[in-house]
Amino acid sequence: MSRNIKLYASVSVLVAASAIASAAWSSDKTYFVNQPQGIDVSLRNVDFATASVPLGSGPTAGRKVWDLDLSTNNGTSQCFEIATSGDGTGDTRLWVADQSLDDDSGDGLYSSARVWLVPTPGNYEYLTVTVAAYSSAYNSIKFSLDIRKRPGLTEAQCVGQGPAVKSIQGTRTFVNAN
Amino acid sequence: MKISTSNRVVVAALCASASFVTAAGLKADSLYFPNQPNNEGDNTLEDIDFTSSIIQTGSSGALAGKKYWVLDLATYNGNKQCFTLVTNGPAGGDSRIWVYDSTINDYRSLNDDANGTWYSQANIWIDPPSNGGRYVSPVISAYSAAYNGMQFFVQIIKRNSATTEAACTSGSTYKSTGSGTAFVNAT
Repeated sequence: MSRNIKLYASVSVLVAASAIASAAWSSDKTYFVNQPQGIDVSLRNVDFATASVPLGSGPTAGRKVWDLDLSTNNGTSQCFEIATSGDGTGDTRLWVADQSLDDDSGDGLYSSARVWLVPTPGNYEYLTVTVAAYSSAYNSIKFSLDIRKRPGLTEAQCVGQGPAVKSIQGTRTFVNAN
Repeated sequence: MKISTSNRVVVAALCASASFVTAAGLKADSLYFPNQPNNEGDNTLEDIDFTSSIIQTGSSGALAGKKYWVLDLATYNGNKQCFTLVTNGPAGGDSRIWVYDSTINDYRSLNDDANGTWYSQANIWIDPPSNGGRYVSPVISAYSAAYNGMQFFVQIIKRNSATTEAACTSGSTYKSTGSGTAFVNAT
């Protein structure tokens, strides 16, 4: 569950460098960054039964957790959309730090939320969303995590519906969190 | 063992739908990384654990006995795109990048070792039709079954859209265009 923000900044700068790896390995996770020119959709399958997927702590104690690290830079505000889905037997919850962002806004018992990031000029704005099993009873679920960048959305359009979290130049605000 | 191209088309069509997993079935651990219109550049970093039960093991051909992870790359509607894949991780890992080659009816090695390590790196150049998509699914495997328990990461870099085919063709490169496919400097 440890998060090394500086490491990810280095990754962005050293995008083609191979030196990043030896220090980078932790649990199964996706790194999804909004560089000056952006990515679109990342779809990742996750298996909580994998030994390297850790158990959480604090409010997610005893539950398998998977971190999604989002960021944007160079003064570019960005809306991200996150959704979990699966075969109907899973149950996930999205967390940001110690606060629940969403329980069941996705399909069935799965989750969905938006993230709005606003960096200070010349700096990165980071937010880690933790995808957790709803309870330890779901620590072996397999599911899909869909991460997409929503280009062109304003803050109001990004957070105007459903659960969302905003991180604006270091100030975090939850909207419709559940 | 060949990954169905038609499945990829379905995935692309359903990429906005949360029903993907239910519709297509959760198979091996994989990542879908398309180049949608109006976007360019960027990278993603994926941690991979070959001990995961959803990482499949090759059953025949070049991948027989080896754990492998599939990356689906795509671009659309005349938007040519260069992707760069880099694997890396703790010392002791050894990966290989493959692409299916219909001329040998098997996966063909694109890159074995890069950057002075046993990890791998390759470029993928995709030139799609003007109205439609083109897909390439490189596979990252353990070098041998002895590495089926390794943990590593894959960096997938979508190069700037101004990157030309010539600029993309550096080191081990796979090309998929309207003229066909080509392996360049495959190792």
